[in-house]
Amino acid sequence: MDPASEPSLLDFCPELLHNIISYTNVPDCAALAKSCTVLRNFLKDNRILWKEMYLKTWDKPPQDPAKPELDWEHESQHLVNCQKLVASQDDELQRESFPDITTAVDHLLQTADTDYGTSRNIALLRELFEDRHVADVLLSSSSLYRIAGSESQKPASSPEARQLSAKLKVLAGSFSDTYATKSAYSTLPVARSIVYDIRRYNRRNLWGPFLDDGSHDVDWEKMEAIMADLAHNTRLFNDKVYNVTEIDWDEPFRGVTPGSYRSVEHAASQDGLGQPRASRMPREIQGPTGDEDPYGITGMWKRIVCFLDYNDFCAFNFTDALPLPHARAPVHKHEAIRLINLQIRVTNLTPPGPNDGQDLPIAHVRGESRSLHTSWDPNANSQIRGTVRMTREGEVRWTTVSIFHGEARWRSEGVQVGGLKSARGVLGTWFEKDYDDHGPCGPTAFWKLNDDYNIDEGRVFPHGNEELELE
Amino acid sequence: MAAPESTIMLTSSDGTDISVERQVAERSILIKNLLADLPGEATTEAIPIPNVNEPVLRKVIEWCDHHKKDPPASAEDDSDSRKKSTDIDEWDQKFMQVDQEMLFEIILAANYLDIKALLDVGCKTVANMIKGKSPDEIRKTFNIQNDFTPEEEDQIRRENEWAEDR
Repeated sequence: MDPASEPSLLDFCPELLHNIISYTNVPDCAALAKSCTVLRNFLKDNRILWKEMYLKTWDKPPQDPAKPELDWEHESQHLVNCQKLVASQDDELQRESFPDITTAVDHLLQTADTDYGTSRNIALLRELFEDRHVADVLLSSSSLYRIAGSESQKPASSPEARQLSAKLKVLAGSFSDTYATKSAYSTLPVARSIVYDIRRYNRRNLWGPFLDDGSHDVDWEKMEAIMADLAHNTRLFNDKVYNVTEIDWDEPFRGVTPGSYRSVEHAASQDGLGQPRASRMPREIQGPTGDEDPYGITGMWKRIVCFLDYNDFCAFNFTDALPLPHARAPVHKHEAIRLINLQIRVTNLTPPGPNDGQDLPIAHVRGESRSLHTSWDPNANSQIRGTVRMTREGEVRWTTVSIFHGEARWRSEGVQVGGLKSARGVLGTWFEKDYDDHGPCGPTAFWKLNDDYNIDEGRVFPHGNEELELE
Repeated sequence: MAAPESTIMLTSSDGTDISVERQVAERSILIKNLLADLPGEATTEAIPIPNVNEPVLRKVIEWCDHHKKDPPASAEDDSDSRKKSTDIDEWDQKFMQVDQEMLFEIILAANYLDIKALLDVGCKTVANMIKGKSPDEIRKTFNIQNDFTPEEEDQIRRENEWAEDR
């Protein structure tokens, strides 16, 4: 037979070529494009093919009619490029690539399937990040590692890269703490020296985990310190007494995608303490959605609050007048931990202010806070008020105030890790309601357990629904 | 409705008549629709398949015969996020161990005759020949000429840096 008449790959009609290439993997498309002009031209700007390649590799992004369709070709290539960067053994290259890698991780999380177990994006992130080298470089390059960490862990050279490393760590979770070798210096005393340092709390950062520039953008290094501190304390507490956390900060990337919250079997959580983990059965019904509760607030939440003994707090903060940015010494004093159940609901919605994100209204919240320790503790039970809003950056910001016998006492500022209705919940700071420079202050976290709200409002709010100014 | 054991006749492009069980031939949606449109007595006449020569047609019939008991292809699952399985079952893998010319002819015939499952097996087989290969290996495998100028080479390398191992 005349060789010219033999069928060639290049002679296939576009449909067949499309069909064949759609069974290859995304990186193969680069090799095909590099092989000859016909294939290069076939692949370039082939929206339908790239969309198919994207959708068979990663989770289908939620459709938002308000947003333009994804650039499938560009996004696929960017994601593969970042996977290659994360898989690289070149530390310097990785440290230079924080912006790209963080953008890709953000994209994968924000567009992930809400089911942790079946999401392809989550499976990919786990595969990439559950790695000693990645943990040493990408997850251990914040300022914490000036002092903490092992020899192979050091802070990135730019403040932006240190922020992004901290962000990756907060999203990934505390699992990589366990990679620390015996010779590594624990992050806990260093994290304490950040979260209990009253000098770091100021009006510009709202006394919360926000940057000092007044932008209300998240300070991920502060978030990382809060998580490190609370994760250590929770682990200690879990080991000694109870299983505190329903969600696992130690499971990579669990609960850090929008909509990942699932109601837990409420029989298990109402007692709060001492429940075996096996009782974490997801319920069929999801939380109240819709216009009246856009943040998925109404329901029962678990909160943890840690604090230093006030004498230790004062000794740490007020023994000398060391100015910032000089870090205070690592804190080796033990902290106390308190477990609290919150039952809260949305009371009303108001339009966002000029400094807030404009996508959603401000939700006003009230409810009850009950200690899971001792009913005679005067700090145990209180009313709780708060607001939830978007920041301009697109993060979910929570402000709460605890009110004892009609008097506001503690305030908190936090950020919901993973965004709207994430299972991980909120990490933040607590402090005196009038922003007292003498403290105390410390870290807190809360996450949603279920959609139950069944408190007697007449008992909890004897004075009705008086307004409280929450700026 | 025809009895399952009824046979029909197909004529290949090179003029050979091949007798096929009707049920086997109906794996081809083209032939199935054609038969449905024909009056009963007309099915005794040979159906010309002008695009497929005898060796390829015999090969395609072999595949259809092996797969005649398969459930009919379900309404195509067009959901965007369907995870395309690239698995090929063992019998099909052996069946596809043919030279590249035959492989491509089978794909073209399956496309023409509208036999989706066979078309997919063929395309997966070609895709497996592409996977993991360098541009040079792809050119060798498929006898493709490198037609880029040196300037283009340089630009293309940069365009495709995203897939390089770091």
